[in-house]
Amino acid sequence: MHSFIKPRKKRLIDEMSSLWIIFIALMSIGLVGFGVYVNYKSSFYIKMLEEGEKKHQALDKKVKDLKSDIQIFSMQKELSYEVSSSNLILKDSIKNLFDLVPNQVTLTKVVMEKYALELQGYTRSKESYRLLLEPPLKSIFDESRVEFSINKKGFFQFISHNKMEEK
Amino acid sequence: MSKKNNSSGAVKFLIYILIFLILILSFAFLFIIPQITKYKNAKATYVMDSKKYTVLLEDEKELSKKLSLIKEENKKIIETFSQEFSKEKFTTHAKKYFDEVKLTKLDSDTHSQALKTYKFSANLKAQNPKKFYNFVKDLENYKGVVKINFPITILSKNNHLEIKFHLSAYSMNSK
Repeated sequence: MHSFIKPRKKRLIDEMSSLWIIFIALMSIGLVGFGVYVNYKSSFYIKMLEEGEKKHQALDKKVKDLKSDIQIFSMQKELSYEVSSSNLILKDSIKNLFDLVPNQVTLTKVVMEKYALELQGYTRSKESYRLLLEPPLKSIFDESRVEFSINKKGFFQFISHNKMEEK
Repeated sequence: MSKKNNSSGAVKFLIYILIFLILILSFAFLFIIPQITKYKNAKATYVMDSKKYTVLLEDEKELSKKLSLIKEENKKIIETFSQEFSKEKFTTHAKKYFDEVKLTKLDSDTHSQALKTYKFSANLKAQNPKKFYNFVKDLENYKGVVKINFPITILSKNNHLEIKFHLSAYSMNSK
């Protein structure tokens, strides 16, 4: 057998297929590259978020501590004022009591409460109490009552209960 | 022969188009779209977090300023509260006013997270009531926060006065 044409080398893949394969390969590489880039950007934000989270937590704790400190110092301020005012009321109550009691009346027991006062003592005459101690007590307290009795020495013993309305 | 070649070329073309489309769609749905979604979410969270951080930073600055101001304004009060209450020191202080001082610790101490509260029962002996008045008046300058609680009982016995009351002392509970 004799052929008039020279045999050509047969290509495994024809020209068009090669072009398609190259095109598809390039597109795939492009897409993978794009995907990797987007993934890199996401990882960047995720890393930033993780770092930010630590900073955020530290700042959050600092803010909480600051709020707590402010609350504590405000509470101390309020308590300090409350203590001062309570001691001041007490101081004034003592002063008022000293000013109230006349020389003719001797006290043996005083029970001082915030809104009440109990006085026990003795006097030579009921009038000394009635005229000198009772009026100021009645002007300070809403309720004032007294019980008298006579002791062995002949003095008038008294127990005075005084109350005012709680504010 | 040529017709056969043409039709096989068209088939190949269609197959390549199909492969191309399948590949593109697969990449898009399985790789690109999830990555973009992840990216968008991460960015949105980051932006939101940054905003929150900025707000928190402003809060921190404002609170720091407020705290400094409170500390400055209440320097004396804070200093007083920072003193740990000492029964011995207070007894020594009270002895300046009274002949006898007896402080008995009560079981009702309460310690909160920020504050220690000590409670005592006080029994004092004084020559005259003025001493007690001066003692209460001078508590304002005592290095500690001490509150005298009502009721107060004053008994006259022989040549002296017996004074009884409860007191509360406060100090800061250090963290």
